[in-house]
Amino acid sequence: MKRFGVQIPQVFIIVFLVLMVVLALGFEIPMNWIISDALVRLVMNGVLVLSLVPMLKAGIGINFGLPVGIVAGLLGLCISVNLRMKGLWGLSAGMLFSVPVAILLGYGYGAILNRVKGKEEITATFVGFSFIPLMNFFWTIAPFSNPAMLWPIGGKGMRPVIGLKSYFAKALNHLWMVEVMGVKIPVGLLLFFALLCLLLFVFFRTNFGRAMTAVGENEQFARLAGVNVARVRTWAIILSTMIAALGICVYAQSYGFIELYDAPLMMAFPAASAILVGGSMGRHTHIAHVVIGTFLFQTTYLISGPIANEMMLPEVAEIFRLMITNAIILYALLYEGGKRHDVG
Amino acid sequence: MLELRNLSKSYGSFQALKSVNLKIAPGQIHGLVGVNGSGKSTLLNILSGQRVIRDTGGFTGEFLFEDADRKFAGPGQALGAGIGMVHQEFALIPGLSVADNICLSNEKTFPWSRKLFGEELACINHQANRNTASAILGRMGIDLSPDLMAGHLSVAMKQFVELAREFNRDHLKLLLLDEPTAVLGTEDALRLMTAVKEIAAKGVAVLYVSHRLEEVVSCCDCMTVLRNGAVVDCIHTKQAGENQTGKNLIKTLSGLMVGKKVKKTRRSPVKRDGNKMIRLSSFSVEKPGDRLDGLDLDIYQGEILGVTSLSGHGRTALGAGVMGLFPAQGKVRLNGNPVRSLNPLQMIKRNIWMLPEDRRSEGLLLDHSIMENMTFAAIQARKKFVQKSVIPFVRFPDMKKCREYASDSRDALDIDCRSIFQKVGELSGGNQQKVCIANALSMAPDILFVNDPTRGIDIAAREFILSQLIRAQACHGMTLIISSGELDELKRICDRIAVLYQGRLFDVLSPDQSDKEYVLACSGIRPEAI
Repeated sequence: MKRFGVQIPQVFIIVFLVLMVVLALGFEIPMNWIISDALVRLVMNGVLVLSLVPMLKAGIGINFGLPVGIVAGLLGLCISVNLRMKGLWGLSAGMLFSVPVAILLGYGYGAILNRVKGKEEITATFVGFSFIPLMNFFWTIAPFSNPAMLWPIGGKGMRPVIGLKSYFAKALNHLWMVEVMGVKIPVGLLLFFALLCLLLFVFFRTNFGRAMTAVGENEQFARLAGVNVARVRTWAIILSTMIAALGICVYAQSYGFIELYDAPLMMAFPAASAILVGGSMGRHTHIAHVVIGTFLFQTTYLISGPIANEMMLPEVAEIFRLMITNAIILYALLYEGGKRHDVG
Repeated sequence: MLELRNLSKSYGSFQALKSVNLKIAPGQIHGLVGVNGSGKSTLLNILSGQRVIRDTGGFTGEFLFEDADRKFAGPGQALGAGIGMVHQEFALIPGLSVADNICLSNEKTFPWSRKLFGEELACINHQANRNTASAILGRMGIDLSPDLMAGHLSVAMKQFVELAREFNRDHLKLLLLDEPTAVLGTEDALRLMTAVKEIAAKGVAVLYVSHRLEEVVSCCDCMTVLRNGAVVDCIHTKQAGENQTGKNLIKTLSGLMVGKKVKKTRRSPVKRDGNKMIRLSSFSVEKPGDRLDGLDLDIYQGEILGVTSLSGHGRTALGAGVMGLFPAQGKVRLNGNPVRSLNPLQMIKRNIWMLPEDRRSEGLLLDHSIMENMTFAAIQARKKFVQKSVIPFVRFPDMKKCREYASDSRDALDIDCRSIFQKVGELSGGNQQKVCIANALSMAPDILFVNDPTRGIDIAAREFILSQLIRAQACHGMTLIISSGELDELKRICDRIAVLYQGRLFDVLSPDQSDKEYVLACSGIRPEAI
């Protein structure tokens, strides 16, 4: 099985998924509904998962500091809502505003990670964790004026959850929606995701992208060939942060709400699980891993909900989901550690 | 003591060993020679019980050790049976002292604590361990404090410590040495061989694997030649007769190894006093384990300068320091212009390039194709093989040109591979070095630093690589600075040879001076002093 790139996490998740589908059919849960939702969820989370790729390729590891990028995206969205921009324009403006913020934050984040070579993953985790309280403070004093975003009482400080219904909720989801045999296919959304994947794919074919892959594989070699390693690593981190910012924009419009404060805290873990499920192993990461991983992972998430409701055990599905998410990360860390042990 | 009968091993469809027969008696030093990929490592892996053998389906045939049929599941069992191994890559714990490393898993403990807590939890008697370690090091003729941290030692010293650890095992019966002298200079290698002979005299059997035939001939009682996984011949030094001594024997061996005659590369030295390409004054490099201290040296345009020293005396620091990989001090003048900042990009702009001594960890992208390795630096630093692009900052490599360059280089350098898209990590050491050379040639440098170009490479590929270096100098007018511990090779191709001792320039010798003068210079002794 190893020849086909199938590892233990994929086997687990596929078995779990098949089990769920069989159960869903047994409980007569409508399949067309599940497929439509699976497609939406693929993109909704897929962009966030995609954002892990540049850092993985550059050998920096899994971006557990995903909240940094997410915060940049949230800030962009808030600016757009504050300007009362609506529909696709509002969403595009939000994405546009978030890019410079992401570059700035990514630069600082990169400066930190470049100082802790070899321990990036744990550092990134704590950068993420410590950045959130700092932003919590910011959200309470943020100088926004749209009452839809502020606490209704007192009129100061941001709400934890901002409804986007009158702004750009589902703006991209509903773009060029096509219905085939009862299955709603969000063509616009899928095209957007495909475009991002393609851009990233092309990026890694350029000279700079190649230098990034080389830095990930052998830093000393890249340095000898005249590559500025620190600069390449910083750009990989900026790129990851930028895509994460776009990712949360897509996520928020799909979800219909902007969630501030502690909401981004744990978002790195499902994304990390998804890419590992896809078969990514350190710097051996491809964009196909993102797509396959997100689809498998999010579909199991999606299906397990209604099944649990049918079985009258709502907690069980959640417990299983958590177990799978974290067990996959653990497996990946063990696998990486095991490899190092073999070599040394 | 050890007997192998019809031992075969295959990895998938590839047969690494074909019914190998081998016999080693106690106290015998048995040489094992063969070109890269002839199956030496596989044989050692079987003998030392490496897990990779069992994981890939085990072996067939009989492996008798002390009259019992053996099939080790792990290296621990082999150790238990009395088979020790010194690895090519160092298996030392960098954070422990020399004494702790030597006594590892064989520590002296206080008897009272053994009674109280049992064998596993007994308190270690550090003083006794230190004494054991210094006794062993002393016996080997190594002047090394047992308190030093293993991680801080030079490569050569690490090799000695590793050997000392095996010597320390009480029940050692068979010692496997995998290229023990690959990282050592001529002088250090001699010391190591003396130590090996001493342990053999105590009745330990030794299996000695090396690319250096002179060593094998001088210290082994018996030599087995492997070619393509099969034993071609087994020569006993004593039975070989009068006419089969020294050089003749080496010729016979090398002929058996490759199956054809190897022609030695040679070039007559040229005296130069023209343009001074590089002038170094009080140039120091802080390379850990290989420091260079206050070097004053002029390098002429178009010459081949050899740099040699014992390991750890600074020969690899020169290139690395000029390229700016380690902090350096002092003045560097290129064509008369002072160079202020030393870093790889600056040096590439000034047409300087270096082939590092450690190919696998510094010189190659093992996971990438041959083509990408050959063209990477040229694309990145020279913008060679790059397409013209309309969009700023977005530039793509020109795949057609890359392919052309790679296949031309493959043919010119005779690289043995399935295709230019094969991963470099799958190639043998010699072919990997050829890929490195193609990468260097693609940069068309004026000055090329080459560190240990033939390290861990078999004789046939060795001579070819040397001839390619000469060709690069002759055809492209490159200035070559080759640092190596292989005196014989340097003497055959260099115009001048600088000898370093303890990080300082000891003397610049001409290639026709005798081996004795070189050995003396490497040890820091002036001929007039004796």
